[in-house]
Amino acid sequence: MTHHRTVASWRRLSLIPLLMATSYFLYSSEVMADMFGWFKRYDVHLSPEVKGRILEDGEPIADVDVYRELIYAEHYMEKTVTDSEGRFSFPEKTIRSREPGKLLGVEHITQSITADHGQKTYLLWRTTSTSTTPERVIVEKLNHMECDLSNAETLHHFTIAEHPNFTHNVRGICRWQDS
Amino acid sequence: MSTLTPKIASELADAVYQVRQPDRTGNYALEINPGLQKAFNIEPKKNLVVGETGGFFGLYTKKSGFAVIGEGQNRFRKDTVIAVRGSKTDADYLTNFDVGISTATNNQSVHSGFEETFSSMRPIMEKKLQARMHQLRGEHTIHCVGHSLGGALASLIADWVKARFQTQVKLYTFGAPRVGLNGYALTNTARIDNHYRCTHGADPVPLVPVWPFIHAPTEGAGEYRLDGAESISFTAHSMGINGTPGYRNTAMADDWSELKRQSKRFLNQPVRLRHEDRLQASFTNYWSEKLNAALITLLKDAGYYSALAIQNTMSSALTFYDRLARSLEKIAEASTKFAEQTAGLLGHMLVFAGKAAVTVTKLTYQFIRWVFETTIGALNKCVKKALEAL
Repeated sequence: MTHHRTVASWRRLSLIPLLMATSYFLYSSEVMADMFGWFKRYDVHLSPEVKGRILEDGEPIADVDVYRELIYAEHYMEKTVTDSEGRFSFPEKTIRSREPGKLLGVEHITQSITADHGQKTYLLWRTTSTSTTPERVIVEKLNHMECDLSNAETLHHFTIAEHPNFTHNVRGICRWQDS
Repeated sequence: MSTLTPKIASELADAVYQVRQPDRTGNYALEINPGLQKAFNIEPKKNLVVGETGGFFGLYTKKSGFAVIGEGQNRFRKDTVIAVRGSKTDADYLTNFDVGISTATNNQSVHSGFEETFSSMRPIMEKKLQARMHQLRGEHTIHCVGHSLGGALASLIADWVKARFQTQVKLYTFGAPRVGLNGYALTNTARIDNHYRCTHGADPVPLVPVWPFIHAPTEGAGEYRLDGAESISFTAHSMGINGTPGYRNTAMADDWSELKRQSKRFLNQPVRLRHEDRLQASFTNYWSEKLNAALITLLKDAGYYSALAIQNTMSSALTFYDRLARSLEKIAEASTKFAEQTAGLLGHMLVFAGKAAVTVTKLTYQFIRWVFETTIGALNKCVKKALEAL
């Protein structure tokens, strides 16, 4: 049988549970934060290196403004200009972020590559992933983009090498010889 | 009357997160796979529900996509889908101990934060749905889909759509929290034609807000428990294919009959806990449900249940827990037997919340209230971190 100890001077001691609650809260949240890594920063791969060429009816075009936007917990935007052979590139982009430590933080990463030519904006590539590490097919495709401005926008579906039951769904005017 | 396959429903719940922010040209992403593309036209240019978020005093607000309305094609040509995502603002509402309670379109008590977000989306949704209803006459089904807080919003939308348009309405949620009190859960269960509530055993989000919030459907085995895990872990809330286990992966089925149903383990079963057994409790889904059942049993044993459960005048969960703590103090004073049962419940709650070192001494209002705050706090803290950056 359980006996419940009577605390006679409860009123005077009523501060104790309050203090206990406060200290437990502070203590346990720190311990838990550490245990689950809420304050840790993690590498999050947002985009592999991008290399491509912009053409119009097969002819390379120079001086086209090309933008890469990466949308995760924040929005990142970089701009480059095509050279005399129509070539452009962006370096690999990896950030340090607390999101993965929140574990249910932001899951989705959207990559968007667009180009301005004349009065028009062309969508070269856009896809969304939940992977924080490089994905083989995305790395391959972004490494050699052939973007003819006369192409129509299409929605491509590429099997995800790491998860063969699912597809990368990519929209844009770029084409690849092998797909 | 058609039903979305688990595969399509989970793809929609995942895909709608793409529209959270436009790119520099003002376009929203929405790249979907071939199966979903064949079933529904959800091109964001036409079908996006945009809201405004952030900013102090309405300054610097930015546009953000909250939902997409998709028009069915082929075998779904008489169907419409509404897929909703959750937002960070709602995460704050969800984990606030002082949950506000307001009245939903069905006149029942629901979480005021969810209701507020839903109200802001309603006018644009009504306009878009009206156009769609005008175009489609006769038999029609609206499917409401959402993950996490988007699931809670999908529930409110489903309830409203059923009353507003008198069509068939089906609801599909993944890792969704509780939306309302008993009255809402009952009305929602009765109104919605089919309800597919998917959970992972380790996902903490479906465990909050705690009682008196109740999940719909209240009858039958409406919960699809997609994995066998028990120990609460935030990773279990992930929607995407890279999650552990990730709802997209566990819901990869073409038919609901392939997925496991979870019967309510403690539904209408009395649970009485002894203080000396308290160390058996652990921070798991199982114990969260069992503690809930033990509290209800104690209130029923002592004849306080109906009075507390039908509170309609309640303005917030804080006032509810206040009353609950006062009732339990009275119950414990009534007899040694009830005092022991109360101590048993509180002891288990403390162990659940990781406070095994605290001994249950005097069963005063202050102490009981503190135990509730601590236990709910432990759950909320877990959920808050989980939802922090949605």
